[in-house]
Amino acid sequence: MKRIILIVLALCAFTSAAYAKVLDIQALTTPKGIRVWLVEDHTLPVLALSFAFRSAAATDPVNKQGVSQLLSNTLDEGAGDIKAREYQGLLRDNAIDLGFDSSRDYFSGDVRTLLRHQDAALKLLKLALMSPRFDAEAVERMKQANLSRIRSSLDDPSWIGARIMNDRIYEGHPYALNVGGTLSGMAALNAEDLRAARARHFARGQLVVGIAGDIKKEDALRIVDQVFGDLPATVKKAAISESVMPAFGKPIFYYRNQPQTNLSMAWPGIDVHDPDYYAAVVMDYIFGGGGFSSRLMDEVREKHGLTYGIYSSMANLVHASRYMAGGSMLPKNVAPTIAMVKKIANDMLTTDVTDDELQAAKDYLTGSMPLRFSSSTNISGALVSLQLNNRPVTALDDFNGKINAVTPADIKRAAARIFKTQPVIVLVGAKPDGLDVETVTTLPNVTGGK
Amino acid sequence: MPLRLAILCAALILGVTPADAAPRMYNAQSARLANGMMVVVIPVHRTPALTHMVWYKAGAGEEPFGVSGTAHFMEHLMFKGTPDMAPGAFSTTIQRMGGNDNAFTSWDYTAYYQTVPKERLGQVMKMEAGRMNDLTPKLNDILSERQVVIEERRQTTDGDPGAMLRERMNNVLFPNHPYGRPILGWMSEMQTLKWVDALAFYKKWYAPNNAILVISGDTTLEEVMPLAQATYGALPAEPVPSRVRLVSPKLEGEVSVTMAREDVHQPQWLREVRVPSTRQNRDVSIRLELLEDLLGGATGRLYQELVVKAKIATSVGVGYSPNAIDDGTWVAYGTPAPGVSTEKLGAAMNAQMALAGKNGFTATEVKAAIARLQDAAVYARDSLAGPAMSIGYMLATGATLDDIETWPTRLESLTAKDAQDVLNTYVLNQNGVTGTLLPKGGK
Repeated sequence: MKRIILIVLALCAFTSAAYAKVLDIQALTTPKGIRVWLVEDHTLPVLALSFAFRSAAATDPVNKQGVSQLLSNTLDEGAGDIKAREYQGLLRDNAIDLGFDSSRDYFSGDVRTLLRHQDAALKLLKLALMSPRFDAEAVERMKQANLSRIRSSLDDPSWIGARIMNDRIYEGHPYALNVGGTLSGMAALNAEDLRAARARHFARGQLVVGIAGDIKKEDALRIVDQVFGDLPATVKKAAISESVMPAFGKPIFYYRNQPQTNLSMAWPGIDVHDPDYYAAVVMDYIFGGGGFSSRLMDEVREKHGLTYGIYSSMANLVHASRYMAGGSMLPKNVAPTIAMVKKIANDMLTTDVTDDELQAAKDYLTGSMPLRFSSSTNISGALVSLQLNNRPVTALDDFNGKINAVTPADIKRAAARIFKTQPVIVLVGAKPDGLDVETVTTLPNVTGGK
Repeated sequence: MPLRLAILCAALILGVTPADAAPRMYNAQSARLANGMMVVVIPVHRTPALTHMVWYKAGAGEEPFGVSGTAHFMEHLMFKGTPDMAPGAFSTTIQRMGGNDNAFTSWDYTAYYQTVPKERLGQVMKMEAGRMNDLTPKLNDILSERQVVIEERRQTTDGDPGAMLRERMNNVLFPNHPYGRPILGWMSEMQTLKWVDALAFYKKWYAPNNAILVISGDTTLEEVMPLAQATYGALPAEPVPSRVRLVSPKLEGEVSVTMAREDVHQPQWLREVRVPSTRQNRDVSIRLELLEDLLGGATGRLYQELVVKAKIATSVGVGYSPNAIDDGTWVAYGTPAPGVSTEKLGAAMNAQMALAGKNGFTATEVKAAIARLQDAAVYARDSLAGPAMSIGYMLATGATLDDIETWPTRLESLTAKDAQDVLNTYVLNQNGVTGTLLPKGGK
């Protein structure tokens, strides 16, 4: 009897929640054909605009790795008649936060401004996109900053691990390259390379925009065309193939003088448009994505005290899906940790998760979703991500239903698709005890092409 | 809630909520419970959620000698259960609300926070109040958690050359003072930490009258007070000693610390000095904040002279840490360009700072800096957890709400001479510690 009442109550709660939209998103298309999603929010006199082009570092040539990243660093170093120092001064003095970024798949940007500096902010953004100067001094300065960053990263075991892991799990694919560039490749880049990268990425046809803040629909449409309307409509895109995960071998080991060993493991993943995607999201929370609610953290940290933290995550790219897990621990604890991870992975595909675990995962995933939208840039960024993933405008409102529909059988099926394959394992740092490893002494895509 | 209590709450709210009309940073509302616990609420109504924080005015600075890491170990043990809450259940309960929680420890404070849907506030307060006095960790959980904090140190410090250099610089900058000890503790002492050490710390410092409740999000002080009374208000005030810190002698001369290791690939240079914190001198503190803005950033003179013109560095900057019970710190740092020695970069950094001390700043520069800082203050409210964090840092280190709220207004009266004076008095004419990170056998 008690159970029935609970279910009725739960249904009531769900029904009433379903009527309230998570965000009041307006999906719009400007007169010039640019897709923009808007959330009006008049709580603060602030405007946040995020955008992304569906073209980025995955098109960087092998010998020009990092060119898209260098482009993202140099766009705000002077544009039109405004030289670097003056441009940076205008941003700073008007309290405009402007930044660009290049991932493998998307070249993106964000601007946040107070309403009263909105005109200056949009003018500066448009100049950066349409007529960046790429003055030799500024390009060289940004190259040196990047080279310095790469050298500093050589002291970072997780960065080192990522170089090796990416080279293996995306073998032969542009995703295997280093988005941040290599020491020799970065040094050879010039303004011509930046112009070529800009021409590859910037076109209205591969652009999505998200706006959140104190603005009305008409003004939003107007400013988007004003900023982006003069970009070319389309650009010829190079085809990028799908990346298939290669078979595992021995764990790969790179020595570095430190007390712990950094462990990372990779399996094939599940694509964001796969019917099992939401099952995989719930599975990941229970396996290792859910922090203290996850089995990995409970077993390896809470029960055995072997590590400060161990996590898993889904690594979803447009042309590849992987599933990752990792942490760091003393070298004597590496083999026991790998055994624990493999045991927990095997349990996920052989045994139903408990009702309590499943409900806890659903409670978190559905309950936490609206909490993500706590700042204007969180919101504008989310509007862009949803569009890049080709989600419908109702995606946030549909999310809870999809999560709540996941069953223990769905989770076992998703887990089997991930964990039936042996993981690729990369170890960086102290030499782990009792493991047969393939030792490597050079890092791919750090000094040169490979 | 009994009526009498409600009237008391109302009186407290009316009595403390500020009523003047000057522009304020957060428009925070505050009150105090009968047991002495301070309550601060920053209404931010963007999403139906809030961040709930409890700040204890005790951290690694309160540890006796020989048991470094106790305050941080205690923070970890706070998740190990009470008679009402199984070990580990605190975080999983918060996650089932759709929320997230965590905690952090510094020399001057230990803070616990949860971000949750607003309707969960009462339940979260009950949970947090429940672990203020009644912690009952089991021996095996204590031993395994001690191993976790040891691994935390290995992961965050012992494998990171930059972190090891900063730890060593702190030893030198703050002799005979807890700021000279690592918050996570020295490895040899962490390995022998016992429950009795943590328990002694817990009993001595964890009390409602030594805690500050800070909530930012979709609520008001009026909504919070009845819940606070019913949870934290039910705990008795306890005698809490005042924070007596050892006096750290001033440096007798400029000191250098060099860390050379095989695993360093990019040399670094930095120089730290002890400067007044906001608690010690809020007038000097706000001037140092202005100075930080004038010297720093892509248009600041350090970057323009050393990175853009002289090209002897790939990055440079300055940073001021105002939130401290005792001295704050000022740091200047730079990454040398290839082929440039850290000595050459350090000399150029010091020369640029000295030049600014000699020639000062223009009124136009200062006016622009003040406008920038005031504009940035608007963004401080474009966040859920941000306001609670910022206010907590300051209140827990002895600043007042008035110091915080009047900050944008107090900036207005500052002049170029103010910035020049604090640069000369507190940064240039003080002995500091210069740190360099080098590849072993390198230059």
